[in-house]
Amino acid sequence: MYDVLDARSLARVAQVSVPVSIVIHTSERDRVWAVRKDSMDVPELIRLRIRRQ
Amino acid sequence: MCDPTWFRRLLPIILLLPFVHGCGGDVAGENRGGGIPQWRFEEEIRIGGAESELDLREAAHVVADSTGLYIVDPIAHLVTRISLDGRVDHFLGRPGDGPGELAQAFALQVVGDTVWVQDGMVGLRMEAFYRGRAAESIRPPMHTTNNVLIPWAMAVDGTMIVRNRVVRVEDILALDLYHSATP
Repeated sequence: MYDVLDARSLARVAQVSVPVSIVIHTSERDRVWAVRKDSMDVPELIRLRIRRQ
Repeated sequence: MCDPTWFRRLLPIILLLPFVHGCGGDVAGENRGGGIPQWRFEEEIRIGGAESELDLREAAHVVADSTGLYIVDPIAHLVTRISLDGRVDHFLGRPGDGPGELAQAFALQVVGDTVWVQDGMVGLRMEAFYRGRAAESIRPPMHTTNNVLIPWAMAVDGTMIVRNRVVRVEDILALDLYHSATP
């Protein structure tokens, strides 16, 4: 579970859950790049877009 | 307690927290009268994996810009630069522990046209690559009088964030490479 913080106030505005196999590396606005190991233990790079609900 | 100098030193750490800027609306109001909103991720792009031609063995750290990604591969002892469609653009570094070489790379940061690669948890080296070419090798002092500092991350302004392992994890210091590195 990742907390989403407002960059100015640092208030927590939301939470996003991701499978434990996914590690988020970098974020920019509503997109993040993350790394996930596939079934062969080879890393995959995935770009995820945050959908607000 | 509200010493502005101390806050300024902590600022790069704050900027490294997972966040989404510009949430809009009344932040306090969003949370009023209910739980924290739950957002979800939607996959847009996938690169790599066993079926890919991209020979990536490990991805210890990934940094993106508008045209591609830098990937720290500590097993291959190099940094791979790829485009957003997964094609390799170029590599940075080669195996070794000298200037321009990587032995145990674990993180990088892009500062303008320079890519700084953090190499080695013990005996830290900072390897700089300017426009794809090895440019500078720095061994910053990682010891204070009583403590050993653990490299953690690097802010976009070139400030390196280190962790003081003798005290609490939350006790983080900022180390300015350009002013504290040994020749």
